[in-house]
Amino acid sequence: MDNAGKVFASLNSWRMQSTFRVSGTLRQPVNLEKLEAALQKTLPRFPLFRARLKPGFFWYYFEPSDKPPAILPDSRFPLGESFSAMGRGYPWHIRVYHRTVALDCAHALTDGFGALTFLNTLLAEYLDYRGPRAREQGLLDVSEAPLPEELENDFPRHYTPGLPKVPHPEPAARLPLTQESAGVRHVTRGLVPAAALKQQAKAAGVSVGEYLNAAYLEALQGCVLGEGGEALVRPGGPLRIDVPVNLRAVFPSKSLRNFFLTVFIEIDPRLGAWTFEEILESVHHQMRLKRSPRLYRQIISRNVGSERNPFLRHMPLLLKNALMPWIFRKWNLRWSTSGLSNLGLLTLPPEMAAHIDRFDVLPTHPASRGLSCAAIAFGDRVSVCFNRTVREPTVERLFFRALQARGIPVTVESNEV
Amino acid sequence: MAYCPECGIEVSTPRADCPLCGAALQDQPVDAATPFPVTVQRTRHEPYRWVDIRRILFTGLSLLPTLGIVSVLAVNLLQNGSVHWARYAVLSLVTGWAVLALALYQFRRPLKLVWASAGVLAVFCFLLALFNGGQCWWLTLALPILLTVAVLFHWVWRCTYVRRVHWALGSAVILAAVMALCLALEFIIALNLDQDLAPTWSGIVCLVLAPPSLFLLYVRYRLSKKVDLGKLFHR
Repeated sequence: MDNAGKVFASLNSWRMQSTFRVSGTLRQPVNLEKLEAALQKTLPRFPLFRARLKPGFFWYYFEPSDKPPAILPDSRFPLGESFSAMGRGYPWHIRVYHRTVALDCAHALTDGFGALTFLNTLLAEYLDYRGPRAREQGLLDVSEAPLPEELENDFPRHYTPGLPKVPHPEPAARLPLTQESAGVRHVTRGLVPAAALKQQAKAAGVSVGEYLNAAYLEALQGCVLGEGGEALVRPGGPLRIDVPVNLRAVFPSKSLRNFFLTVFIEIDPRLGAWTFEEILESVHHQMRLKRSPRLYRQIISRNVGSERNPFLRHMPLLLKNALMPWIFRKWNLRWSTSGLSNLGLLTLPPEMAAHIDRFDVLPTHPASRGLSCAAIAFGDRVSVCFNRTVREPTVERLFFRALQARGIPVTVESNEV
Repeated sequence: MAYCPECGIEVSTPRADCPLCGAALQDQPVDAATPFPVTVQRTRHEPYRWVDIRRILFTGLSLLPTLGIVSVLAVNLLQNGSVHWARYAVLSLVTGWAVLALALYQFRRPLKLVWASAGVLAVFCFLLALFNGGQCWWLTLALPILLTVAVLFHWVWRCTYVRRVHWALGSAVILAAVMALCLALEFIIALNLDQDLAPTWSGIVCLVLAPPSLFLLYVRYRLSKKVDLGKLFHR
């Protein structure tokens, strides 16, 4: 297992959930028999997805399995189960509802890129697409044999011992929101025209990702300080979001396993209410400052170094499972208020894209954090999904209202009835 | 498509109010498909739920004493035709079962657990005394000891855990409770045996525990205000 997978495998309850969802919505209702046949064709190309996660004495490990994976009907509250309760022992399953095919996947197995590659290839088989397939588009040829590099754990290749430690940030501010009961997950999805968003971002001189990060930080600030800037609660620290970075774009890699890390972007509401322009400028510079392979190597070295710690290596899994949620909560979740995963623009061959309406991502979300957000662009639309385990939709409301007020039309869907 | 006049956004979910602000939507669609399933599937949230584990433990906990009780009763009846000695074993097994079951169900409420366990043990002592011809030791010896232990635990819990006091003050309170318990035990025992009431062994315990207790109070009220103990001990 890779470095991130080892951590995520021990976070296995509804409170410390480590599963996420990527889904594709077709233009026609899904034919289950056809999907099952496509899955049978796709699976041999992805040995990683034919493995079940088993507990060893010191770590979890993958065990190859020939059992057919599960295709299940979707539920109103997605990602309700921990990965060990997923279909037929695999740390993933497919859920289908009407026109949507969703892949629910444990982060212990792969990251967003790996999951999207599997889903795209599955949809290509389902749609009988026979054109050229590019790895960069997240499409693999099922007639080819799997490459050994696809199963490689790429983190240790960039491990440099003896690098200075990454300084720990101060604990981030918490959102003053009410926790929902167990198993309830509110999903709010906003569909935004990509052209309008791009135009706004271009006018502000930032990228679309930076614009979304800034808008999210502005909504979080509104949630903490109140929409008018009057402090609802005294913020206990900076508002900080963790932004995952796909390392394949920086270091050459063909791995389908986890190969990402997160960087922190923050504003400090204790210094007063920030205007959107100020947030944009700050986010723009922070993102550029942190986009450095040297800094990435430093973070990788810290993560891999702690994994190689002899004390941690020889600790029985039972203890790791008991301690890891606590460590994760204490060291990782405290550092950020929320998270925004931006999977970027997904481009598929036109023959295939014509049959697909849109793609959505539902991020991994530990219940103690309140809410997380993810975005993906496909065709002429950007889908922004909020995964929320708190009662109040304050952040979504502020986020989408702000976009609408800046001339970006928003269409909202929600699983609340 | 429906439109929220408050948020200014379109809502594609067929519903009466806006999912973001709760305002009534305008221009409701007549027959739109829901973008999310309406039904909720029951899913297991955790691989092993505590409720299930507790039920299994309680079943095992109840089964073993039941087997033990049946066995000792059968042996005693077959050997002597009475339950002369088996009643002691049965009483001990039932008491042990009750205390363990209380611990299983009330371990998150330690005060309740301690008072309930003290009650169970008081009944145990009373029945034991009754089996032995109605001796009064349970009233003069067992009951005061149980009450002292429960009261001291209650006090320590209230002073330390509930009030979330400084670790040094909490430790001093615990040491004080140990000293009070030793003094009370010796006093109760001496009173029952008609001995001299002056403390002997409990006095030695107090002499040993008093200095660290005072030192902890000094750490709490004097030292911790002047020195950063975290830095001092590389915490």
